[in-house]
Amino acid sequence: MNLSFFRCCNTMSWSINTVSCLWWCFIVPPAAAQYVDPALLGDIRFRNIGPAVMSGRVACLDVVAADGKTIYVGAASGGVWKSDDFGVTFKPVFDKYPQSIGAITIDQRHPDTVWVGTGEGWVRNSVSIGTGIYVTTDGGLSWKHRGLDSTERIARIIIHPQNPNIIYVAALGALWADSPHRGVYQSTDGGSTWQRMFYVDEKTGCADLAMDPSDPNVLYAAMWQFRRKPYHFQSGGPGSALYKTTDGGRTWRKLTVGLPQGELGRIGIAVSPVRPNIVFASVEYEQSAIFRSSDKGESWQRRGTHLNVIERPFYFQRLWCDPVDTNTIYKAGFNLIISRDGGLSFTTIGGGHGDDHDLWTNPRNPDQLVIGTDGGVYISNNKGGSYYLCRSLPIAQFYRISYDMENPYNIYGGLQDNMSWYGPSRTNTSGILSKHWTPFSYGDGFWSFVDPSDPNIAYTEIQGGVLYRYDKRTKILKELTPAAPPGEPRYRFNWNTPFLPSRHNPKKLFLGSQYVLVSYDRGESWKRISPDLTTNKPEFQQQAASGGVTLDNSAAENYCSLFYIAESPLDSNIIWAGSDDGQLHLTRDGGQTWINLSRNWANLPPYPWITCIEPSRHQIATAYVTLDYHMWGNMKPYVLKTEDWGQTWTLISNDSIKGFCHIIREDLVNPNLLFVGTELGLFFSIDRGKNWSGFNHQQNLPPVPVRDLAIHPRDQELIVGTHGRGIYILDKLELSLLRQLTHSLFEQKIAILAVADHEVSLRGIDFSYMSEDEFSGTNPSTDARIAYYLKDRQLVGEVRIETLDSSGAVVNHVPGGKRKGINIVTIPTSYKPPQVPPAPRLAPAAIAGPRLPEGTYRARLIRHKDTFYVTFRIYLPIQAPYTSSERALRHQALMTCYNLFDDLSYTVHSVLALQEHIKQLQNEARSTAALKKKLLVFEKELDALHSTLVNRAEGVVQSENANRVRENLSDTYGMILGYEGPPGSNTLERVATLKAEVAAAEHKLQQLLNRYLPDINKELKRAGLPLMQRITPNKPSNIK
Amino acid sequence: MRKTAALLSFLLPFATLAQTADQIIQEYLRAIGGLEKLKKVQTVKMTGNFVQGTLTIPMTLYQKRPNMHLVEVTFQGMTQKIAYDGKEAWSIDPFQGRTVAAKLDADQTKQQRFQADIDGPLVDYAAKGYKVDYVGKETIDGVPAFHLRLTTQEGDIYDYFFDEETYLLIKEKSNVKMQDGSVESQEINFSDYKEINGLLIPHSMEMVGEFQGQKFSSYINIESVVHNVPLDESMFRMPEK
Repeated sequence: MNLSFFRCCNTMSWSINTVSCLWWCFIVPPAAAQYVDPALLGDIRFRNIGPAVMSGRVACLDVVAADGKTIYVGAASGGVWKSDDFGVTFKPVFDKYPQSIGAITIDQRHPDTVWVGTGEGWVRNSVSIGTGIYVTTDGGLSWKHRGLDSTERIARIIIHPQNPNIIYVAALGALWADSPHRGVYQSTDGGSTWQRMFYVDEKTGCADLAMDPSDPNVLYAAMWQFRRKPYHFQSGGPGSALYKTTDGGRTWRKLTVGLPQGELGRIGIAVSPVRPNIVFASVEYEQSAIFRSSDKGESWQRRGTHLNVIERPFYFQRLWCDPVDTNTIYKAGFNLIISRDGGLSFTTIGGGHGDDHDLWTNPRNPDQLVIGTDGGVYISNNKGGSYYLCRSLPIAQFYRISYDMENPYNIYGGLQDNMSWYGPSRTNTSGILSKHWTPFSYGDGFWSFVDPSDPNIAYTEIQGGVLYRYDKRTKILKELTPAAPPGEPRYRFNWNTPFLPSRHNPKKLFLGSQYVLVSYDRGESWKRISPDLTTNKPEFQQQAASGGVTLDNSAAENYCSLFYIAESPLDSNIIWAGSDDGQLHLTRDGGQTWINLSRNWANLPPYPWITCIEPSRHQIATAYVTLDYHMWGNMKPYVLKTEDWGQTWTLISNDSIKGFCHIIREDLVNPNLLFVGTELGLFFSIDRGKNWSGFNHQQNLPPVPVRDLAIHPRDQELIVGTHGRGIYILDKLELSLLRQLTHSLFEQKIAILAVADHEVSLRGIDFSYMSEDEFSGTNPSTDARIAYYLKDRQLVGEVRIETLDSSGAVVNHVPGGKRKGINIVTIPTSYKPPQVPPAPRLAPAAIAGPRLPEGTYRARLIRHKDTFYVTFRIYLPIQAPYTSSERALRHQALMTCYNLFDDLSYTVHSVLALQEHIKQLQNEARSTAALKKKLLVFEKELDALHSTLVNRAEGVVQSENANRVRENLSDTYGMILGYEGPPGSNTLERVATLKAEVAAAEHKLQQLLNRYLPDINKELKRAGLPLMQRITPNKPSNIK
Repeated sequence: MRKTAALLSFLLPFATLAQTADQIIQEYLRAIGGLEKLKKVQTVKMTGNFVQGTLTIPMTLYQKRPNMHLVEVTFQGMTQKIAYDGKEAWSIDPFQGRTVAAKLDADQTKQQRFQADIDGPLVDYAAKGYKVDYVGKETIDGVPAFHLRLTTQEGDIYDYFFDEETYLLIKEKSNVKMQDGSVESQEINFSDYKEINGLLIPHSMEMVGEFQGQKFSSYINIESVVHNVPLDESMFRMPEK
């Protein structure tokens, strides 16, 4: 512990709001810059706004069979979520770790033990990556990494039913490269060490694994040869086959009898839990179908097929047996299908999203299903006859996000398989709910944005450059997809086609095919302003033949197309364009001439995806570029910087950045502050890329794929578009803190950093019926807040934040944070709650004091002998339907009530104290009969008075006629407090009446004292007892 | 405060590298003044405030060996009581409009019983039926700390974090299983250590709740601690009426 904080009295005054904006200008980063430890970010936290209305892709799930209500959900790129109430509510339990989940298996005999294999096995073009296997033994409170780091993706985990230390893992392995880290692994020591028990070759992984429930030495393994390239996907090859072991994995035998002879693709396996000699397989081959074995896989019969058996096995190849009926099986697909005749015929079941990936059937109630889909988790209680969606899983997978200039601003974004949406960055109610979000397109969504000249018009696109314009008022959608003019080559559009508005001309739109296209008429017509800016290599254009065994050309393998277009914020003639095949071009004359800049990257491997170009807003020749080679099997981060129009480049990324890069943003204010989003989280640099640090779960941001970033220029908030956890926002105060971080700051013992003003909350109410199953996005704090840095955690002494009124008197105070790093504490802006006369019931409104009126105030932070002063404002937001001067009436009325509480308390306490004194004297031996008689009369009068001042009945007595002065005062105070605008004249009349009643009560007490005390005191004097007088326990000290 | 700081710095040279749960508990007990002094405490009366936002509510805590516990909270002239008399837990909750005493349910009783232990659960933990494991050295809020995990027979988990330099308790995280199968989580940060009768006692407890990734703090700030005041056992018992 650092004890040197006991230093001399040191009073400093800060004018923070100016300091915080200019700070970075004056501080030159020291030469020996260091990495910023994220722990020092302290209370800086992102807020998650969801949404959960469309949820997101779920790759796997498992349920505790014994309780039937504890669900673990593995999101494709949104972590592990646990529900202990069968899907009503979920909470994330894996936020420290990479968020792509391939397999979840609960040890059903020890249900607090759960194994999680990372790296999704549903290998679509946008699939994320994993970092091995993890286990919890405390129901998800903590996790241990248990190796298999290099497997990239894990498809299945099986726990030995008798010995939980024996674990089998189906490692699918690398998608974009050869790798030996795949096949079937086994651990016999609870994951401390692993043995690769079965391996085919560097191209073939294990896609599915099933154990015979009657004999844990018998396992079936579906080996799958597969490979993804930027322009092609291959499912199948000589490595694909079904294998069996009967000795716990030591030896494996290929199963062939009755199975197709030709090239196989992906296979799904399921063993009947009722009669384990029955095994089903869904086999991808030229006539994909369901196969059934009744002799433990030794021989097979082809059963039936169905569209959902044939289509897209790389995404859906999973089968389940009913826990009771040997003829009932389920197969995932675009829709879930059920067969009740052992796979001969199928029925599509359920509604919901479809695109299913995992299923749990309740062994105790086979009608009950939990289904993981591209659109979240659904539950069915009638074997898929009907579903309901679990509405509390915010695992949205955004590709792109943008904002508008409404107040509050909206965020627009497109999602994997879940359309394009817009919704508010905040609401004036309790949270941001599903109903606040509006979908406005089809398909998978990507770039979406508002028309810069018309807030009612929005643009969006679906995969492969299909564009739309949407009118928010009429909800009418118009397709705008351009086709090349006759005689010109067909336009090639990426899956995620760049489509964006100009920063300079609100009428201008950009679109990237292999060319840069522009429109000046809201997308009605398009003009080409560049030559082909890609390599246009024929060998890179194989998407039409993509799929392997099952042809699958969905635009996901479109290549040789532009992937990013960026106009300089400083000059509309400067446009940068980057392609998915590594070509970066620049024009400085609005498109007349284009220079290839990627030629200057001699030392870099060829053909990266140019995932982002960020032209500096501070220096015109400076730009940052992120490159992504993951589809070539290289996961390293590449962030480049040029300061000379791309003639020379510096690689500014280093090992502190984890994951391949999607996006880079330069801060709007501080050119030293950079943000980089990667497949494994969000990273930042405070020294223009010399050092990088990562945000983590302590800032409420898990290592989730961050696909897009934007800084709102008016509200100064950082918007983070994640592919798996929806949208996060770093609010203005928190962003301002990052802007002023310097390495020298961390050397100070204590430093005041910034103050947020208090925005008067307009207190909207969302009237909806109570239910706990809906996610609610977090709103920003509107409180005044102070941010300060402490070099050490403070274990001795207090930290105190005091608010001063205009006279310098302390209005209120709160304890301050004491953590090491940045502390953010709410500055109190209201008075302490009023004094309330005692009664059997709460005066509910009086638990809060009135807030200070709008204006500028001082607060001070007191720590040991140091005092730091800051100033902050209380202001009314511009949306307020009343003015500050109108609100003065409210404040006046509130303060009147506040002081009336004091006055009434004084009177009531006096009455109670007198009554107590009388009670004592009634039992006092020296009290004379004459005295007692007088006391009795006085007591009756006091009691009668008291009964008019407070409602003395216990219990829930709500009728108005039970109200006395205290309750009427509380109700009136609450009425005024509950509305931020001026009170009505009737309410003001009520205040006046109350004022008269309180005064009358005090007057009455005075009268009683005058009438009875002289006589009583005479008697007391005679008896030699202390005189009776008014005791003043709470003399009013009215605040004016 | 100076006195406390001096005491802390005096302790530092003696802090050795503890490696087991028992060693860490021993070091912690030595750091706060020693088990001997702790065992001399027969009763405790603490007064202070519960602070949430701008609301400050006076409260008094009473404890008496072997395991009696009473908290009184006063607001708007009403006093709420929550108590455990060694057998049963009860409360009087006038804020709901009645002053009748009522027995608490199993979930609340379990928590009251846990809190009624003057020594704290780590002292003689095995005799109390708890299991304590040393999890390892961890960085908690940027501070290196020793992490002990206490597990009760019901499966409730209490994680304790001790400052590596001073061995003082800086954080407790609890995950308590409720009857309905849910788990109630809470985090408490301890600070403002002051010396009372030779024992270092945290005078500030920050209780941190989390909802959807956002943290919310409330505090118990202690103003005075008195040991060995006479407390009648009857005050911990549920009133008959």
